[in-house]
Formats: sequence, structure tokens, C-alpha cells
Amino acid sequence: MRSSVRHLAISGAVVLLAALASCTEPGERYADWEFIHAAIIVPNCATSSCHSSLSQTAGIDFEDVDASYDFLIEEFFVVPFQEESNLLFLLNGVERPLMPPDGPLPKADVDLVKAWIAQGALR
Amino acid sequence: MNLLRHAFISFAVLVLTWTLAGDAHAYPHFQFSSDTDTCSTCHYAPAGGGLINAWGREEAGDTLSRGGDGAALHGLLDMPQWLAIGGDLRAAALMKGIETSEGTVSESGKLHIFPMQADLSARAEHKGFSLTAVVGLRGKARKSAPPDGSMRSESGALSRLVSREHFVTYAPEDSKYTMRGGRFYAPYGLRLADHTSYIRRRAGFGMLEETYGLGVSRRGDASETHVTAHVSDPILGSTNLTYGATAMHETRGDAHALGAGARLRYTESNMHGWVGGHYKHWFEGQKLMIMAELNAGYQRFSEAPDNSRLQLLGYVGPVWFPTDGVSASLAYEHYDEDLLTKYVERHAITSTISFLPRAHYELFLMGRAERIGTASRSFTGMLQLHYYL
Repeated sequence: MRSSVRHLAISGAVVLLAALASCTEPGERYADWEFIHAAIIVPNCATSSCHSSLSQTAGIDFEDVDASYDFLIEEFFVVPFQEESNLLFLLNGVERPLMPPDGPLPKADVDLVKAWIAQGALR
Repeated sequence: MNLLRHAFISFAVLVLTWTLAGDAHAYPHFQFSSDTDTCSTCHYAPAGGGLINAWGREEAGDTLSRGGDGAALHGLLDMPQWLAIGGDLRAAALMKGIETSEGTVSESGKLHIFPMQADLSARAEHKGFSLTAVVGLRGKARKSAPPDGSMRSESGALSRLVSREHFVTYAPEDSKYTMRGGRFYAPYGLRLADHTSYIRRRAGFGMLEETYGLGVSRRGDASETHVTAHVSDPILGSTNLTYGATAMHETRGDAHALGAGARLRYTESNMHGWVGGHYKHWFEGQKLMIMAELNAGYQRFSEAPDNSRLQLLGYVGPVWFPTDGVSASLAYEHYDEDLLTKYVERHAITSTISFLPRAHYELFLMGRAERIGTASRSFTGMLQLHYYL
């Protein structure tokens, strides 16, 4: 029993190390709105006390993927092909209050949003 | 004179608790360190957190603080056995320093003073059934619109009224089982009080993220098990319906607890699962507790080309009780949002000091240093004044 647990632990560690060794560079991720919304915007911005449907801080609700996209484009937080977009100012805390205010996103995530805007901010 | 002072304080708290609601959780480091072996020894809820029971109130004065009467309303009123009331009031002063790849963030160094938590809780019991509710208004630490007014206006103050928890429990007499239905956090992991800790915020236990659920808890002689099926708030909460299940089992020895758990949630856009374990060990001679939690996550996105990711979430550190009413903790926290992508991990060192000079009063100091990816750093200092009814 103890031996199988040890083998299992070793195998797990090997798989984990192999996975970590094959990590992709952040720039290799696909700059797609669906992914950005679900993997970056929702867990960091649409939190229950901030831009969720419940709180809607500053009147902004980032939970729905389509409504979030429409808001960012219509309110000029994102201007396709323009890297100087307001959204990036907010994410970097430059000339605007930092968002999220309790701590910045990893630069790799901000760069992914930047790449998406640079590629035309496609829906 | 003393009675008048307590009466005034109690009245003031009763009024203020209607102004803002925050987050109330148990203090998991009190397990073992305060003559208790489970959270529900001191709390009414089957997995701890929230209202404390008669035993917990005695401990609040006898072993957790440097004296005082821990009874509700400072013992001014004899509460009937079927009724329990409580409340938490916290004011906080917060200062952050943040650096990103673009430089120091403009808000760095600004002091924010704000009411952090104001909850009023009540519980009524009859023949094994009980009804518990926590109410208040949602709080916020900062102004929500930037100076240039480029965002939309906020809705009125009444929309901030919220009941974070409201649930019915049924515990048959002489049974090890408790059933619970309503809005509450599904029990999982260490259940730290700090809702900004990675193991809470990143696993779906952040502020106001209590779900509606049906749960069963079993409390054995040296173990406890909690299973909960849950959905996101269908009325005021997410526009994206989230549903799932959470299970946790914990076994205990004389001075340690070992737990394992799993959590699975589905929304239209993704499936998100966590499996993990937690451990606590109490060293009586050194008055020291070690607490640790480790979780592995898997998230699959239904419509995105990069359609899955593996995640890691961890917490480890000691809590030291140098003297009555004082505890100090130091913890390392880790969150990797995507194990297979470089430079997206977060590391944090968090240190806290809690001072309970008398029952009902707490002074809490926290410092946190974070490294986010390769380019960003964040430093947080926070002082909390906490009063519980």
C-alpha cells in the first residue's frame, strides 16, 4: 500500500515537472475574446463585489460575454487596432485608477488583451 | 455606569450593522488551540462560521480574549434558548503600494478608511429546525467611478441591501447528521476569515459568493463530512447560472486535522473543478499551529480556442499564540492561473496580528507582499477594528 502511494506520488511529480517544462510562452496564447472574457475578465473583474450582475460597480456588469464586449466597444474602452485604449490604461494604472484596484493582472494577461486589441478586437 | 456604557455600545452596533455588510467567517486557527476540536463546537452552523453558540461565547471570554463577558449584548439580556443574535462590525484603514511594468500606480500610498463589515445575524430554533439569517448593506472600499467620470452612474443605496446568508437547518435529536438548505458557503478547505486570501478568492469563496445550496453534514467522533449541491444566486446574482457540488471530509487526531475536498462548477461558458487537501497541526508546548491547503484546478472553456487550463492554489504557514488574546501568523500563498503558461503566477507573503483585549473587541493588523507575474508587485497594509455583538 505504502509502495503504491509512493509510486503514485513520484508519477504525479514527474507528470507535473514534464508539464511545467513544456510551459508555453504567454505570447503563444490565442488572443480570442471568448478566452479573455472567461479566463481573465470574469475571475478578476466580474467578482461579486465589483463588476458582477449583483454589484455592477460604476454601472458595469462584466458577467455576460456579449454585453461585456458591447460595453467595451460602445463606451470606447476598447478601440480596435488602437493599443492606447482606455482599457489598457486602466489595467496598467496609467492616467487612470488601476483595475483591478486590489492588485494588477499579470503582465502576460495584460499583453494578451493588448494583442487582442491590436489584432482588431474581434468578437 | 459600566452597564450604561455596554448598553450604549450595543445600541450603536445594532444601528450600525444595518449600514454595511461584509464577510463573516470562522477563525480556523482556534481549532485545537482553544479547547475545541471542531468549528461547530463554537458555531451554530454545521461547518462553522457566523453566529457563535453559548459554548463559543464562553470561550470568547475565557480562552480567546484577555477576559470579559462573551455573551450576546455583553450579557445585558438573557436570551431565550430558542433565539440567538449576533453581529459583526469592522472599520478598516487600508494602504497599498502597487508597481506594474509601467511604473508605480498613481493610487499607491493613498490611505483608504472605510466601514468594512456590518452584519446583523439572528437564529431561531424549534424542535430540531432552525432558521438563520445575516443582513446588512454591501460595503465598498473605494469610490467606484474614476475622476474623469467616464463610467456610468451607480444605482441607489437600497440596491446594496443584501442578505449574505439565510438558511434552514434540520438536525434530528441524537443524530450525527444535519441538513441545510438556503444561501451559505459550501464547506471546503481551511475556510480562512480573510476573503482576499488566494485559497478563498480564487476558488470561488470570495466576498458575496455564497451560493444557494442543499447540504448534508455528518459529524462523527473524529471526523466530519460535508456535501453540498449549489447554484449561483438566481435572483440577484450572476446572469450566468452556475451550478455544481462541493464535498469535504476531515479527520482529526488529538492535535491535528487532515481534510480532502472537491468542488465542481458549471456555467454556460466553462467547467471549473478543484481537488485539494488541507492540514492543521497544533503544537501545544510551543502554542503554535501550522495550517496548509493545496488545491489543483482544471478549467475547460466551451467556446475558446485555448480551451482548458490547469491551476494551482496553495497556502502554508504558522499561527503563534504568544499570550492570551494574541495570535500572529505568517503565510506563503501561491496561485497559478495557468500552470502551462509562463509568467502568470502569483506569490504572496501575508502576516497578521490579532489582539483580543476583551471579549467582543479585536484589533487586527495585516501586511501582504505580492509578486504578480514577472513585472508587478503589490504591498498592502491594513488595520481593522472589529467588534462582535
